[in-house]
This record gives sequence, structure tokens and C-alpha cells, in this order.
Amino acid sequence: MGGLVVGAEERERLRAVQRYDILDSPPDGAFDRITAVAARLFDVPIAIVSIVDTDRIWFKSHHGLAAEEIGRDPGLCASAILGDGPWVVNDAKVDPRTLANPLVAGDFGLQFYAGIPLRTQDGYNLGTLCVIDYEPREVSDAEVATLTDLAAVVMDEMELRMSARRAVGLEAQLRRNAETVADTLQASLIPPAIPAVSGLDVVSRYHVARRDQVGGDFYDVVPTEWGTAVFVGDACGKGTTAAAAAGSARWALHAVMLDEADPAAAMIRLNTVLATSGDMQYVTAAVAAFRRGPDSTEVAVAIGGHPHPLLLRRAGLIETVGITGPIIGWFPDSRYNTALAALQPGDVLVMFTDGLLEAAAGHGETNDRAIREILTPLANHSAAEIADRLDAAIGTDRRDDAAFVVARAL
Amino acid sequence: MTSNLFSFEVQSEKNAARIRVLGEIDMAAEQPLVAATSEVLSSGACASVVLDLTGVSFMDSSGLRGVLRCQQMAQTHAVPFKLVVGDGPVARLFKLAGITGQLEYE
Repeated sequence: MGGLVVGAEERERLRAVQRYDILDSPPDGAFDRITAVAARLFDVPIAIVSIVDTDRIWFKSHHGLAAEEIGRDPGLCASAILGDGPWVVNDAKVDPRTLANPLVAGDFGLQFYAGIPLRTQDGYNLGTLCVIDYEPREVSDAEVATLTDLAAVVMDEMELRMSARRAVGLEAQLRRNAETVADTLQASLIPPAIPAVSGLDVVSRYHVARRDQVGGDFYDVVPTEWGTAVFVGDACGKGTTAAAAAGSARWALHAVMLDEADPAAAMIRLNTVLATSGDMQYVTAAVAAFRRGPDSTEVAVAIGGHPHPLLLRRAGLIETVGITGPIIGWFPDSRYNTALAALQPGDVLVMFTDGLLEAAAGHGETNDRAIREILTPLANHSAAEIADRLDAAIGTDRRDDAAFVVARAL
Repeated sequence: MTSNLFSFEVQSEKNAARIRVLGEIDMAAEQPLVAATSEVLSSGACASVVLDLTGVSFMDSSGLRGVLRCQQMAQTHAVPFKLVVGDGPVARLFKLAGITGQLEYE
């Protein structure tokens, strides 16, 4: 046999072997059935699907033989793949091509070999489907034709596996792309960090239900000349359309609140902008405006089709704040009301999206009883502690995104 | 998450159409609901539409938008559009959305 010179052609062939990613893959029933059929048809003890690697011949399937691979030099398959067609040795002990081969002259005692190259569509021989016997024998043209057909089946199986692997890889790539888009969009729905605001300890959390599908929850904390605006909202629907609507609503509201201390007036302005955009989207939101007084903090709240913020008093009582007005951006003439509450140090306003309601109380739930039960024992706790408990209630198994902001008066 | 756990039953009597909506009205159901109502409205002989939502077991924001789009379409066709919501999940969602007073009921 001798060492093969690894020329340009052989390098290309080895690249093809790598492309099929089959070397050292686990046993596979489909290939084992083919070698079993080949052995039975030829009435020989051994049938092999071999792949010729750089320095070894690896057996994808080895019927009637314990070895999983042999060195490339003594292997007959390495010779068989050099041609285009069947490579048949009827009597190896007298055949000049094989009589000196250690598998023939040595203990193994190989005397018959018929191999068909496993040829790729672009013309590279990866290995062989071969049958082996310890006795010399003749083969008919019909038998060689059958073995050739079986080799084609082996190649079909290998092509199939490569396509399947590629599809899986492509799907993973698409998922990664979708996640990047979702992450980028999501980042536009909330501030990168909560700004420090005077008189308040503010903590926010955002829980994404599915990383590849962006949701429509949004919130913001806006320090202004008149005080601090905090709002939480949710655009109807899911996906990029919802996220785009949520992003627009967040920035529109952020801008309006800079010079509008009355949440209801801000909501009317947001409603007008969104209702005339003609995009068949609406958002819901709760908007709070915090202003520091001489001995308490005043909070003004307006609600547009959104769950009520809950006011957890330092002593453990819970109040709802705000009067529900219509969803924002659908009806052009919607009106909203501002409700006022005075916060003493330690009082906490909790604003959230319906994802928190669902996570705490169940699918389709609009009642906030479950959230009240979580909050009641947390009176006089820090904003971070309250947020941690709400996080725990949200858990990981959700169908909707969930966002909340906890603002504690200092 | 979406489901296909919804169905519509359309009844027409003397040009008065009644669409009974059943099951979970979410993102998967929004477009079919709008299409079903659009078909009823475009049939020409339709003088009024009632959307009966008492058989709805769940509705989310997409489902609500579907109902509002139906209402908007009826308005465009100048066809009276009324709802039946009962006191179940749809009524609660309408209340949360602050739209109970914005729609007409049978």
C-alpha cells in the first residue's frame, strides 16, 4: 500500500469528509441495517461502511467485525476509494494488488474484498461500502450492481443527516438573530438604569416571557423640574409591532411629562398622538407624578385601561390609587382623571403590568387580590425587598411579560 | 403563546346577524374574528350585528383589539353594532380597559 501522498486532491477529499461530520459519530441503526443486508446478500461474514480519514479507516458500521477502525496503510478501503467504480479482489492471496497486505498475509486471513466508493455529489470518495470474506470467491455483475445500489443508499442516508444538521444549525442561527432583535427592541422600552430621584427610593424589574419574542411592556422614571414622573405601560399584542408601539408610547410620555405635572393631561396628549397615528395599536398605562411637599410627598395618578397601582401604607394597609380611564390611543376623544394621595415616609406605590396579575393569580386574571396578599406583610420593607418578593411571585413559567416599579417615599 | 381554542357561530335572521364567539380570544383569534365580522358586514344584506361574547373563556389585549376593530368596521359600514358580554372574563377585561362605557350593548 505505502503512504499516500496528501496532495491537493486528497486535502479536498478530507475536507468533504469533515463536511459530513460523521467521523466518531455514535452507531446508527440505518447503517447497521445496510451492512447486515449486504452481508446476507453476499453470504459473507463481514460488511463494513468505512470512512477514510487522514491516517485511519473508521467504521461507521461494522457487521461481523469487532474493530471500530484500522490504520489507513493496511486498509484496502484506502485503495478502493482511489477509483471511480467497484474495487473487487476475488482471491487476495494471489492478486498482486493485495498479496503483500498484512490483512491478507497475516493472521486476519482476508481473501475476498469487494468495495464500492461512497461518492459525494461533488465527486469525493469518503470511504466505502465493502464486503469481506476469509475465502476467495467470485462475484457476478448483478451482485456488484446490488452492492453499488446499497452504497448509494448509504450516501443518501449521509446526505439526509447532513441536511438535518444544517437545518438545526440554521434554526439556531435564526433564533439567535431573533433574540438579538428582541433584546435591542426590549432595551428601548425601559431606561438602562433608574435615575436617582429626590425623596424616593425606586426599584424596577422587567421579566421577559420568551427571549425570542419581544413583548410590549414598558416603564420609565423621569426626573423633571416639577418632581418625578413614573409610569408603567403595556402595548396590546406581542412581537415587534407591539414593542415598536410601546417604544413610541414610552418616549412620547417621557417627553410630555417633562413639562406636564398633571398625569391626566399628559395621558390626553398621549391619547391624541396615538389615536391619530392610524396604526391599529393601543397602549395601557398608569402614570404617577411625585411632588415633594413640606412634610409629605404628594402623588398624582392617572390610569388608561391599566391595572390600578397599589399604595402600601407603612402600617400595612393597601389602597388603590387612581380612576380607570379608557385604553390609550384608540378612541380619539378619551378623557382621563387625576387622583391624589399623600405619601408619608415608608409608604410605597407599586405600579405593574397585567403580566404580574397573571403571574401572581393565574391565566386571564384581572383581580389584584393575589398581589395585595403578597404586599401586605411587606409594609415598611425597602423597595428592593418588595421587588424581590414580587420577582419570586412572577417565577419563570409565564405566557406574558411582566414589569413593575416600586417607589417608596423617603 | 397562542391557541386555536376558539370558534365562531354566525346566525342571520331578517338581515340581523349574530356572531357567537366561543373559547379563547387571543392573538391567534384576533384576525379570524375580524375576518368573520368583515364577511358578515360585506354580505350586503346585513342591517345589524350583535357580537355575543358570553361564550368567551379568556380574552387578552389582542382579542380586545379584535373586538374594537369589528366595532370600527361596523361603524365604517354604518351598521349598528352591539355586544353581549355577560359578567364573565370579558366584562372584567372591559372594566380593566376602561371601555365599558365606550361600547353599545344589546
